[in-house]
Amino acid sequence: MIGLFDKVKIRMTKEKVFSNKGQIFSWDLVVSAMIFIVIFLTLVVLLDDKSLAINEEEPKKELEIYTRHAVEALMNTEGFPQDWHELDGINASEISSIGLREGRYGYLDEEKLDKLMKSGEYYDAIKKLLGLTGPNFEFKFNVTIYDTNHIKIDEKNMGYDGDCSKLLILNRLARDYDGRIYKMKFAGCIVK
Amino acid sequence: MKKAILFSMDALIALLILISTLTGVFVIYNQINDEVFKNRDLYDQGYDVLEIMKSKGILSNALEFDADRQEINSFLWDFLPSNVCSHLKLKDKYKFTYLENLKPGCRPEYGEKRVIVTLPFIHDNQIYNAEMILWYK
Repeated sequence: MIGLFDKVKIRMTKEKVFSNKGQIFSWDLVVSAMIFIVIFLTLVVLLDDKSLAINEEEPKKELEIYTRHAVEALMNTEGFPQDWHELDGINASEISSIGLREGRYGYLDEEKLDKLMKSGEYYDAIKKLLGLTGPNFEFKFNVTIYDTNHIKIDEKNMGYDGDCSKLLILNRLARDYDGRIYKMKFAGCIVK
Repeated sequence: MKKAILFSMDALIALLILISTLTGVFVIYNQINDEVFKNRDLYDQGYDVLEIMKSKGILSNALEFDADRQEINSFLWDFLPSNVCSHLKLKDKYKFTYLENLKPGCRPEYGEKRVIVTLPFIHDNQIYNAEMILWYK
């Protein structure tokens, strides 16, 4: 007795034997290829977009890290040697780091600041000592000094004075032993 | 002859897995928080201001019985950037608030970008804590 399953099997076998058509086209293939192409193109577009954004963002992040480290060194350390401001000029072979803190109580040392602001000719050495060694990195430093009654008494600038393609300004505040207050703007900059 | 599209659960599941994986990857990718120094500027500015007010005795003076509260206002007005607001509280060691000061021109509506800076100081041989909330206007 031939069952239903066997009949189907026989029919399929006959069709297979007597059919001379080959199957080279399949809807499965077309649909899956289309899905693959759509997903692939979407991925390519999205990744391209992201990689552009990353390329744009990377130097900015690098600038931020270097600038913040430089400001931290200036604001929170005395520098090494501690009397670096009493040496002639600013020479990277004699000085390991630059800091504006005074030994006692951590006040800002006016003499160190004065020395730094008057050392424009040693700009490259200062940049190196502050660790601003990234490609095309420059810095600008502006200090406004107020007396004990908050009246502006002086303003000093040093550093790069050209245009920047990217700029990060950090504002800090410090006081010296005599109560004068120093408003500082330290700008890290990438030139074009 | 009727045509049909071959439907397979395998393919459907594979497609769903692919789509959810890709979605997951992109969601995680976009959520990566690259703000390494988030709010660091605000924190530094607040800390500098508190540190100077402490060393100049402004915080201690504000706790005196007949204190001139304008001293704090004047300092904050002069040395905090105009786009930065602050809310200062001076508390004792039991967290009792002795003084509250809102920077002139600010409302206590803290934005998303806010930081809290605290700094202990001594007044009349007692430890107090200056707590300052800072935010952008």
